[in-house]
Amino acid sequence: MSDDSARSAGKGVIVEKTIHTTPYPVGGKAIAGALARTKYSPSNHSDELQSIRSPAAWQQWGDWDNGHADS
Amino acid sequence: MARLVTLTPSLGVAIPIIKVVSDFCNLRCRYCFYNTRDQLTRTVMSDELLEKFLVEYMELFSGHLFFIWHGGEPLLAGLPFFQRIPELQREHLKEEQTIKNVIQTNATLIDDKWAEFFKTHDFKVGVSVDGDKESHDHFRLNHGNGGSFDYVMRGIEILRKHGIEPGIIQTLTHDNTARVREDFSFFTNILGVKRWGVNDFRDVNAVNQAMLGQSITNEELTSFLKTYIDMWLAQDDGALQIREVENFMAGIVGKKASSCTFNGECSRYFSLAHDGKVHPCDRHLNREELQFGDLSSQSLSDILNSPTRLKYAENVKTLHPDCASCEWQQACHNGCTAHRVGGISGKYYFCETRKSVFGYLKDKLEEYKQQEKGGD
Repeated sequence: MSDDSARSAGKGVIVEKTIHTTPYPVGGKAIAGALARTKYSPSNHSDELQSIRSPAAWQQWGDWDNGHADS
Repeated sequence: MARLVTLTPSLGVAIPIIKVVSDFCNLRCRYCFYNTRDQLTRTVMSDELLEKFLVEYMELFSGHLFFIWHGGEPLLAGLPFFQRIPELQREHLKEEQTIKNVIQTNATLIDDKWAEFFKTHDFKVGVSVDGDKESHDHFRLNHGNGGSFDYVMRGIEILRKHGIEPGIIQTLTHDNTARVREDFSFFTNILGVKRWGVNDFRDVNAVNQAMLGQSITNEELTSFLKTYIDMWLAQDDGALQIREVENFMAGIVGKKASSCTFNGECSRYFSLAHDGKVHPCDRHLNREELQFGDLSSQSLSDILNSPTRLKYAENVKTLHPDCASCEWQQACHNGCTAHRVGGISGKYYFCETRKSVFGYLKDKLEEYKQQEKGGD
């Protein structure tokens, strides 16, 4: 958000610019990324299986993750 | 050939973990759960067994098929062995099938030929790295007791030269919990990886007597995971994926986690050994009572429909009584079956860690939402 104001001073114009910054939430990008990656996951309460996903989801998750802990 | 018809529908497509070379390995990692077994004899899965498996498996299942190639060190089977895999898969591929091959390696044997093969056939490569040189070489040794770190880094460099970015599996032991910050920094700032998973070393069944002191405790794992979460937040990179953090996050927002150790879908996997023996998972290879069957003398359909497997699947789904009142029951599913105390029906050893870390990350998520709300 920003709030600009301007006033005249002689022939020129001095612009006073006040920027109201909101600190980006700590870890906000990390959390947003992780939340986005849950997009293709079914609900925990559904019977739908997680382990085999569509090729599109392979890309979304990072296709290295096959769901098995040791590989 | 018989179709798979008698499995309960929820078991779905079974995912094979194929151990192509017995327990044979060119490393002698001190914590390895195979090091009470024969790691010196090089026995590779026969061509006949490989073909029998692929033919029967691809006959049984349709849709998206994962093949996880494992060991011992799988590259010791040799490139000609692996070159047959995509040939056979192509030969038996059906219209409704897509295939994804994944290999987990220590990366010490990777050269240009291997990397070219993986790139050509779109194999996804997972590499075992425990952290920086000090952490890695503490346990991951070669036969001469020398560290393997430099060889692993060379392997990763070759993979990257061929345009392959590997996933990383870090094994966490008691000694290495003290180096959590160094190892996180190594992965993110030096090795430059964007995604890795952490496996906690816990020898619940006391298989490796020499390493009992390295099994990590709830306190150690809780502290480790909270530190990783803090560092992950501080790094604040939307593309940085730490598998365990992602699993906790998914559970908190009511989604299924990706890993078998969280999502209760353990029984979808099966481990096929070089000699045809089938178990639930490579983590259960020492549990002969959990052997589902033997592909060298039985059909895959019979093995996957065997009473032992169906009983195992039921046990996986049956949670411990303490889970009934737990708010994280659907997000945890009583953890890894290999880390349940007293057997498959027991309670997950790291239950307290799970509760604590779910709560910790949930609070972080709430803070984030509050800050985001305040900024509107």
